[in-house]
Formats: sequence, C-alpha cells, structure tokens
Amino acid sequence: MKNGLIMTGMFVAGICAGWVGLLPNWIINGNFKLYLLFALMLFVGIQLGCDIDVLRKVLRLNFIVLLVPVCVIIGSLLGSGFISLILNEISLKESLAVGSGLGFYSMSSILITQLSGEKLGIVALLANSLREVMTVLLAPIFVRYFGNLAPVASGGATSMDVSLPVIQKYSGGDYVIVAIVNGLVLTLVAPLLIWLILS
Amino acid sequence: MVSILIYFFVGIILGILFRSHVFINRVVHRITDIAIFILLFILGATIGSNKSLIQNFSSIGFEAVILAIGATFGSILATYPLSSIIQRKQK
Repeated sequence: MKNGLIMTGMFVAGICAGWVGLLPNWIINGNFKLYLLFALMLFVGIQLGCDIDVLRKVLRLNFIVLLVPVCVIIGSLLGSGFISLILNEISLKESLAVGSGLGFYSMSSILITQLSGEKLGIVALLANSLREVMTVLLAPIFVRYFGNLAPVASGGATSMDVSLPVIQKYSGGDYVIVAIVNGLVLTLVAPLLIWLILS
Repeated sequence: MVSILIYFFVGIILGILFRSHVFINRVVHRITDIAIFILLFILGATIGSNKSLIQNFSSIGFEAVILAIGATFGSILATYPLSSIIQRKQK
C-alpha cells in the first residue's frame, strides 16, 4: 500500500516534470532508462538465484508456459475488439491494431504511425504505455482478485523487463520465468500482428 | 533484448553464489524498490514530455484509456483458466 502510493506519486511527479520541461534530455531520451532496466534485471536475477527451490519448480512447467502468451494475445484482441463496439470514433481494425501492441509502446506507436497515420500512432503510444503503468501500479490488486498470473498477462510484452520486478514481488519468484517467456514471445509477435491487421 | 537477458542470467549466477548472505538479499530487495520508483518517474516523464501526446490528450485520451483497460482485462481474463493449472503444476 505504501509502495503503491509512492509509485503513483513518482509517476505523477514524472508527468509534471516532463511536461514543464524540467528534466535534462539524457533522462528522457538517453540511455538512462536502459541502464536502470539492466540494473533491475540483475537484481531480479539475484533474487531468483538466491531461491533454488523456485528454479526447480519452474523446470516442471514445460509447454504450459507457452500457452500464456497465446491466451494473452487472444485476450488483448477480444478486449480491444469489444471496445470498438462501444466507441464510435474508432473502427474495429484500428482498435485491434492498438490492442496488438501488447504493451510494447515504442515499437507499436512507430509502426502504427507509419501504417495508419499519426493520430492512431499516438493512441497506440498512450494506450500501450498505460498498460505498462497499470501493471506496475496495480499488480498487487490484480494478484488479489485474479491470481498470480494476472500481472504477467496485463504486462504483456513488458512482463520481461519493466513489469518483471513487480511480478517477482507480488506474484512470486515462481512466475519470473513464465513472465520472461511471455514477454519474449509477445515482443516478437506484436509487430507481426500489427502489420497483419493494418496491411 | 539479448543484453537484458544476459544481465538477468548474470544475476541468477550471483544469486546462487551469494545465496547464504541474508544481508545482501535484503539490500537487493531495497534497491529494487527504489529502482522501480525511479523507473516510474521516468515513465511519467516520457509521457509528460511528449508534446504531441499532451496536446492531443483531450481528443484521444479517453479512447486510449478505454482501449488500454479493454486489452489489459481481456488478457487477464483469458489467462485466468491457466493460472490454476500452473499453480497445481508447481506444487
């Protein structure tokens, strides 16, 4: 709870600081975020290595792990397709393309801008960033109501990097490998799906 | 993407080597929390500093929020049946 408040506060503070233009360029566009991710991956690995039992459990999972990204893709497409029925401003094809971003906002916004235009590109950027932010901020709530796999599913392609530390924390170390496999598969599939839907 | 996985595997090896040091484990937990806070700040800053996104927010904001909710909850619900299978397998 306390962490959740601090995280929300940091996110809002970040939006304000970015909006006002307080921050030096290297924080926003430079490699700073990448180095931070590297550090986080190292820490997640250390915590996993400390817990040998978890590593043993993970090896028992085998092919079921691959069903996770398949279900995530189906769920994202059904979910965003359903939204197009409610919203008049966006067509089925467009909302499916945004949903196919699977949280991979940098790639999906660039690709969608090229294939469909700037407006839908910005929608994809915002929608997929929000998916990542929702996962990081709401992970404990998702776990409580939908089980340990929920943050892996909601994180989509980001379950292998940005969302991974919160997955480890709230779902448990057992889900780290599931999350990495899920993230890898979705990162590869997302551009392909967008291209198939829009071309 | 490959380098991210390399850092992850180096971490696992370090973790196995130092697994008996409770102190290191606790410090790593703490640093991870702080790193997540910084990461969220940067995520916010990336969104806030995107001028075209902020300018168009009134026209596309609602669509994007609803689409994000739809795709996210769609994924969570679609994987829900798998979660009990995975839990059983790990017992």
